[in-house]
Amino acid sequence: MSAAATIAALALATAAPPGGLAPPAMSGTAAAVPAAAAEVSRAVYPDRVITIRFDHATHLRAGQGCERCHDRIARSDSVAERDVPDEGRCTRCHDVEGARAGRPTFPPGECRTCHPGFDWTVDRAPAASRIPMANLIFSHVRHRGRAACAECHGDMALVKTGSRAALPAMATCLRCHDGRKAPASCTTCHLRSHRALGAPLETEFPSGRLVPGPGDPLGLDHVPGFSRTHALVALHQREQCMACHTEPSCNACHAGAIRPQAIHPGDFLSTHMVPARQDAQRCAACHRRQTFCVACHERVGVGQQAPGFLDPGTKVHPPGWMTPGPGHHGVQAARNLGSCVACHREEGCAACHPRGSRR
Amino acid sequence: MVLLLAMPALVRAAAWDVESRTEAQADTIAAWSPGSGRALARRRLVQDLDLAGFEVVQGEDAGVSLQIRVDADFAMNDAELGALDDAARDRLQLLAARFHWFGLAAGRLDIEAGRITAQDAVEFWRFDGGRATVRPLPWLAVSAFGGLRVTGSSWLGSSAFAPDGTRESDRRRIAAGVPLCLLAPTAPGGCADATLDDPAPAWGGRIVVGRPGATGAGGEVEYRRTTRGGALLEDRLGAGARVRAGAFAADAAGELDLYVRRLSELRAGLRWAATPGLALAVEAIHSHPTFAAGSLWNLFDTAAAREARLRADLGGGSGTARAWASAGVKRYEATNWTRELFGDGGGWEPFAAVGGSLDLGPTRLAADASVRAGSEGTQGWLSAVARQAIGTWVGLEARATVARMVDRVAPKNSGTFPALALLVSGRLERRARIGLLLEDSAPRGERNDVRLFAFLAVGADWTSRMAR
Repeated sequence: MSAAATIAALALATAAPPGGLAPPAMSGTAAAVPAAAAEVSRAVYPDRVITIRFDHATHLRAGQGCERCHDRIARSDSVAERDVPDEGRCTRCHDVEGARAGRPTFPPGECRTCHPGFDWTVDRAPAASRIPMANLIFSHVRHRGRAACAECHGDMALVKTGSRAALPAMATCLRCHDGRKAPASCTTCHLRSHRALGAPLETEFPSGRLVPGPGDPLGLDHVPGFSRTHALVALHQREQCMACHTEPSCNACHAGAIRPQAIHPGDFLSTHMVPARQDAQRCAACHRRQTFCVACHERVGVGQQAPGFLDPGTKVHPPGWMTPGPGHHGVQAARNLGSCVACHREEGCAACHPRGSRR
Repeated sequence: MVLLLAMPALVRAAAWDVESRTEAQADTIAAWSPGSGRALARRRLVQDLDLAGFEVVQGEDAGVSLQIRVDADFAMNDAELGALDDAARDRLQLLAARFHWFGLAAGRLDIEAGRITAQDAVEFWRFDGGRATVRPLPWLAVSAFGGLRVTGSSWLGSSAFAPDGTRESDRRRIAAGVPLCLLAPTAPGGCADATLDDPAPAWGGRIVVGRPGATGAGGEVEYRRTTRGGALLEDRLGAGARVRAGAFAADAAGELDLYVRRLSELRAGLRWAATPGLALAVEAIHSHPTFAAGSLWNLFDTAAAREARLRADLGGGSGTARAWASAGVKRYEATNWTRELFGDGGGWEPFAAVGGSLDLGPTRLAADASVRAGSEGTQGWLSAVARQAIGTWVGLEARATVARMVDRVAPKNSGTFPALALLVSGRLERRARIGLLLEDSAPRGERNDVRLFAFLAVGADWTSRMAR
């Protein structure tokens, strides 16, 4: 578990009510909002700064195929080889020198055609674009012949500049990477945190945190409040969870020592009684009642078996708790015995209910 | 583990990762009874040290992991420690110490040894021992495991994932003169069980069908049996299934307690990513908790509780705004005897919640509200969080929470509880982060409601590989 993830796990979230549904922890300087599988993740594809004016549709209508400008893409074997066309490739068609000399050009060769506001007589150079490398393992070479450009990038005739929107989202990749047609392991495409077999995925990037979002085809969507709703997914998809998380990261909450801020909202010690009974099985995922709960209850004077701890005359439960009627404690015990076990020891019940008694 | 660390091969691991986390807490919790003069002071310092080595055998998925925790509560005096069970047990814990070598025999054999945190169909558990998994086919994995179940009385043990329903140890009570159950099982005031400290051998197996991580269907069956002092501690059979098909993801998991002969838990869920901006999920839970086989609580006649919930998640195409809503109901069944004696017809517990968040880059806002009612009481929550990142190194976060509680089981717990919290967190460098949290809530009784938490995480990693 990385340091960033540690602090994030400790970070505040809004109240996590028994509905189990709180917004995500928002601490950590990296963006923590999960991207939907159908969205283009900022963690994988960092934001671009594109200063040029460009229209893919115009170029495609003019009969220019993808490889006319991206002519090295077929040899690109990593995300470092992005093959973003440089000016030299543009000027194969756009006669910049001719335009500067005052000759009519088509396609237009004036600097401002592509660089809005740029005046070559005044400015030294147009504003530079910034297109960061994707945080992925990808080879165009390996995909060549297996998928047409549009299968991953969509219909570029609808696209102007090559923004992040034209990059494939994970849902697009999984159309083929299903474990049969193509490998489905996470490390096929995602980076490991360390260059070693068995190392978990890298999830912290300057551009954001890699988090599965709503609509994830594997059902791993880390929706708001996922910390309280992930049980079923985690139980069945442990291999998937462990691709990013490590055993200590599970222990940080499930065997937590100090109250995880993202799980228990402020002043939870004053308010936990009703939630603990209404959601008893959730508490048991992290807390052993006869150890964690009772030890604290006895120390603070609630636990029935704490020697001399319970103040004389103090009544915890409402009137009618020990007399026949709908308010009898047996009704509560039969419905939700776990809540009794959080305060009482066996001998407390055995005093009236000897072993062998069914109630 | 010591032998492993001594092996020269480990020094040549492809990568190492070390992280140290320190958490500190200072606050005071009031005694439950006003005027008692007692308060539970907390002055805690918890130190975790994690170590992981990857590819300790070149070219093989072989690694080691170690997690040690030291937990000190400076506010707990000797008198308290002597009067309470289990309080002194968790000072030093070995949470994990595992060696794994996956992909042996041409990818068909995985082995693990050490202190292993395992997961069955519905819960965590931990044991000292070994586990081997054979994959005769790409879609079939068969595991066998055995060792000693880790409990609070184990060597450097932790009670976190131990079977519930009994004390962790009766050592204190035996020393105090409580008669042994072996000699006086019906002693007034209870007897002490000397076997609680005995080793707890556990063994079992698991069969998993389906390709991990792939779309399609899969399932698993697991059996686990644990004894202690020659008596059964737990005897459980778990099963689960999952289906991934297009925009649908369905899961189900359950556990049968063979000692009590009852389905202790069953969960089923279905998620549908209807559109890129809308996901719907429904989950159903059947819960009828059981305890360690020797626990008195297993003898009580109890009824199951069932719960169903529906959730909708909405998101903008740009991913900057999220909203969600959920609602559900829990049903407490009545037993025959509560029906006959007390006219109990069971109980209903409806609940609902809504929330949303807005990500504006360095500024993020979130809020939610929820309510849950029923025979146990009523709880309502209203919360809001605002976060501001300052550069890439510092984050400020503020949260306000108001909770309204009506407790029908212990009426004294009712009230309205506002709380405010401020967190300053910062990244000192790539693997060093620090956080300071100040929390305040409206005073209740005699308590001091100011709480201070501090967090520090420092990590280091290195690799012997050349850069890609």
